[in-house]
Amino acid sequence: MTVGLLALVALGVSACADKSSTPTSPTTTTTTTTTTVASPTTTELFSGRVNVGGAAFYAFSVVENGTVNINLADVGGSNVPSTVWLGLGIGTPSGEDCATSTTTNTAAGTATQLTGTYAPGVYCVRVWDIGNLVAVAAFNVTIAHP
Amino acid sequence: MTARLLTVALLATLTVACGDDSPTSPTDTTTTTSSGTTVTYTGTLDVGGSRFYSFTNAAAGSVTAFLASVTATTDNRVPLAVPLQLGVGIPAGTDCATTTTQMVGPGLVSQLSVSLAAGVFCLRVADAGQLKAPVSFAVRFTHP
Repeated sequence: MTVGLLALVALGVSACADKSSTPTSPTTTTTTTTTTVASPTTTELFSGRVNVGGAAFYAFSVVENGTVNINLADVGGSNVPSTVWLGLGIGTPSGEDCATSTTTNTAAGTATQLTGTYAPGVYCVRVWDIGNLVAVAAFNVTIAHP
Repeated sequence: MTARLLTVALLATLTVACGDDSPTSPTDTTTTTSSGTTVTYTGTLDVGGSRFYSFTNAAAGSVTAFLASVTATTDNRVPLAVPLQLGVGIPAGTDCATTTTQMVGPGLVSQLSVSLAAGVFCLRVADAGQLKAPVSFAVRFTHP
């Protein structure tokens, strides 16, 4: 009987032994959102003409977040040297023009002259005379996008 | 003497008030209120030609449009009853790929209404074979 009572008390002490009042350290939960950047899957050719002091633009749709690459591939025409520099930009169609958000001045070449990551939506590429033309220029621009 | 001065001043005022008959170039106007943005899109349209105007819907909602006027390019005081094609769509390439179109004559009531999501869209005005000469047009449309 005494042994049984001692065992019961020991069991009770044991059961209470882990009721520690010591606070535990807070844990930090980090949530990482990964946005996938898709590679270009479609290439569109923008063939157009720029008047002296003029501009032209072309609209395209990006269907998923990803990389857009713009290349002024060639420029030509009567009295237009193939090395002439033009303005090249990407932006959003607005009114009767393209409101550019990123621009560069460039000559035609084989390498990408403008690149960026764009969310799904409608965008435009704009080509314009930066003051170098003395005659109408014909050009080709390739637009690679998701 | 006073009467003579008053007469001169009155004539000067009338001269200023009546002096400017020169036509001004059309300008597009945009007004934004809590109920949306209203754009008056003006321009000239060639025979068989088309023009488009891109806009951004800040939210989903209705776009309404009407052909406010069609006039001769040689004299914008001469109204024409010729119908034009109005359309709404998405800018694509060097044009506006319309998803909804309507042949309309000039009028001051809503002639085209379409529900659209948020995003970039365009309003297109085109001659569908009715024009015999270039015209000036004014289209008024409202979008979210």
